[in-house]
Amino acid sequence: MSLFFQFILDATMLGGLYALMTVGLALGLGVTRIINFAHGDFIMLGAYAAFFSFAAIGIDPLFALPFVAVVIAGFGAGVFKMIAKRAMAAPRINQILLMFGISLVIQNLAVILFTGDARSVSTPYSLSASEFADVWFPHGRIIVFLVAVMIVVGLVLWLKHSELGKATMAVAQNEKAATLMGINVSSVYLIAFGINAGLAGATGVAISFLLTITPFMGFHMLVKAFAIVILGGLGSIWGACIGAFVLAFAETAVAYYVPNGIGWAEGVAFAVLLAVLIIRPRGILGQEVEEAH
Amino acid sequence: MSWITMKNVAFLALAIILVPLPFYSSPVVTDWCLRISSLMILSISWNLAANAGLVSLGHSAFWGLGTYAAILTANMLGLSFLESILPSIIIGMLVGSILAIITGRLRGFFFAISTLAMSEGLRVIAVMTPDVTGGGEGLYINQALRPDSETIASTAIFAAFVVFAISWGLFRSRYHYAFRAMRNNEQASQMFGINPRAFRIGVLAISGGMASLGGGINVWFGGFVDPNIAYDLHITILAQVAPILGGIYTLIGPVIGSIVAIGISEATRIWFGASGFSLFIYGFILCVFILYLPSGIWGGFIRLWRKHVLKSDNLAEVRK
Amino acid sequence: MSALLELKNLHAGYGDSVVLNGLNITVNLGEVVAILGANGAGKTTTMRVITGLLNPTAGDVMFDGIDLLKIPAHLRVEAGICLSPEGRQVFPNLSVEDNLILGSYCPRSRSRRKETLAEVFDLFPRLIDRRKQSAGLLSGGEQQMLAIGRAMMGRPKLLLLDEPSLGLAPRLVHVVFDAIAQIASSDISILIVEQNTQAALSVAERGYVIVHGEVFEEAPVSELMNLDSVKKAFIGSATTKGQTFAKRGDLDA
Repeated sequence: MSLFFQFILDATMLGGLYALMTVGLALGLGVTRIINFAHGDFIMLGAYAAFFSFAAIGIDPLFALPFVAVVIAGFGAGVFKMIAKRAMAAPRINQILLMFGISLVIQNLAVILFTGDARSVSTPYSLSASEFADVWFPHGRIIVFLVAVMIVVGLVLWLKHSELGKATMAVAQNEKAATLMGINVSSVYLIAFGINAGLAGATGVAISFLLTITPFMGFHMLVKAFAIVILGGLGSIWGACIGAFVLAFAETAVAYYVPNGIGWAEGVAFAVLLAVLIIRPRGILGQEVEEAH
Repeated sequence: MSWITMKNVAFLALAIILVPLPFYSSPVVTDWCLRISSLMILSISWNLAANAGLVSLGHSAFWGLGTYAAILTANMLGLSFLESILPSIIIGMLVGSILAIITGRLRGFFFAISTLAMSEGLRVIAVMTPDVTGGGEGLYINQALRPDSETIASTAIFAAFVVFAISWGLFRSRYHYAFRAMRNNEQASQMFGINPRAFRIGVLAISGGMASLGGGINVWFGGFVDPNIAYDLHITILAQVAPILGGIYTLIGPVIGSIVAIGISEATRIWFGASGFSLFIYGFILCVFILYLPSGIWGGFIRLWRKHVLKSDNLAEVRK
Repeated sequence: MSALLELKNLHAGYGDSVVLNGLNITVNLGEVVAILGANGAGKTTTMRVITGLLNPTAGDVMFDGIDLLKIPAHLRVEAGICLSPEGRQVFPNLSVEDNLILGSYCPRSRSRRKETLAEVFDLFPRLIDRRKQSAGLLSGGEQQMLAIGRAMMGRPKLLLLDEPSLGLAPRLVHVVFDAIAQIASSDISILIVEQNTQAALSVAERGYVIVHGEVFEEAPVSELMNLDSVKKAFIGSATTKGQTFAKRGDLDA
């Protein structure tokens, strides 16, 4: 029984992390329609930023998080500004390849600057845990979960209640009409992409004390984030949240209840992805997918 | 239709000269021949699928499958180098067809993500089935069966010519228009009497088979495979960089691009040494070319040629 | 009367196809002007040029004395031009209230938002019950009210209405045009584009008939209704019978 509670706890905490990891991507995708293949690399940059501020100045990642998120948001916005004009006009295929290229550049810049050596951040709470009723409550993961929930809820509230947030949703739903309202669509694109990068950076900081940090760590998360976005439905923030928890529960279930499960858990995302594409490409909350395009 | 045209004869002559090249040149050249030919096979394969609007971000899947097919049939069934190539091709075609069927009519982003998922999923499977694939530790090929490098390189060159010939044939065939139609609007392609589903299966089967062929040949050179080598992201990257460099969607683009890409790889290795550099440059090239030179080297060349030709036409007009 | 909006010799199109062929339209302060024409005559294209969604290839657009073409699309609301687009174009997943709030996004109107919102609800009481509902779930008529209300939220000097009767049952057309008549009685200038001639002429003071992107006829509404040539042009240009009125460029069609 306690195993079951442990499972629920672990899956929930993972779900929170996945939600944080994906929600920015879903927003950027929904607003700009550009598929950000560099998403995983912004996460990686966040992790490195946390590492360096911890190693060099001794700042706890959680304190560094807001600053890192803002800096990476700015960096992401800068990258977007550079490519936006040509990228928006280019055919789909070119957009995909361009973002892939940017991902490569960032990854290998990291290799050149930081070397490929694995890094890690150990804070007092990275590994500590409390036990209660036969269930382990790992401090690090719980903190990550709480931070993730705060940020995601904050984003949703911002989108629903702030002027700019509503404008952003408007652009995602109908660009032309948004322009007619006086909304500067290009600025909103920039903001959406910046938020995407910022939240990715925050995710990176959050996992910096949970995983080892390498320049290529982003790729796995990228694929999972995309799997979640497709599962939840392209362009739907709620869908991304739901999808995050679905994947988290599926992965944790496999890890717990399937023999040799921990290794296979990595493959769950792909199985889920394939299943969605075969059964219901639009995902849980997405719009109808135009098949021939 | 006569097959004896200037182009065909030139092509055959080139093949006759180049295929045995490794046997009468230095090991360095042999190495280059192998790498350039392998990349050509891979990039022509990628370019073919891209032509039909199917952007693969997981071409390493096919390469890896070919690798494992070759090594496993060699080790378990004692197949020789040349014999093991056949299972590689077959599995590539099979998985390509399956991919086509699974993705149905989905294109663009959805298709791209499917290929990504496929390559990662296959990697995980390779890691998790050590009894078959040697798992994370990897697999060595049966040393007794290994041929010399020159034979491998020669075979690679020959395979590259064959692969090019196939893509040449497809470009010249009635399917040429089908490709363009598929890329833009799958509905329209039906006007050419093409069944989109069957066409997609065909394209991906051929593309998959080609890429697997590349993997199958290459594994004999290194003699070792593990899931990270087989399904290496770098393979996927190279598969795209070469066509974009040379000229995406064109026949000769991947060929030019392969030569230039390997050239860059050699240059960065000599000048910089560090591993991150060549990939960094590839990424940079990818971005710069997509943004400013989307039709690649060949496309740029064609544009200059047209300007030149137009100039001559003007002169002719004036003289009249 | 001073001109609020002046379109002079406007040429515009999409790619190689030319839609507007030297269009000349004027809307004076406080006027209600209708643009009539069959499908493809260039009515919506005109709206797009005025709002900045399309750049003309030649010609001038003057608004309140300023060269409108120098102002980017998203700043034209601030200048005082608001459009209720063809097909409504509401934000489907936002509530009615949010749609209206976004209508007053620009700084000039944002400060008076509460006041304007009350006015709009006065104009379209139907929307009060629906204020929290998703705009995408509204009926066609309600969406049209929302679109107009949203445009009014921008406190425009010039209100543009693109085919407000499109797809509406006759009873709803009455309701919508009653509201338009109410707006017309204020000092807001209105430019309305319509295929439904009767409805348009019920609120307008002056009208243009455009055919193939040019002004075919311009007259006060009372005269327009009786002009034979107008009736013919209207029906004629939509079918092959209108050969009398064929212009150059027809053969290219």
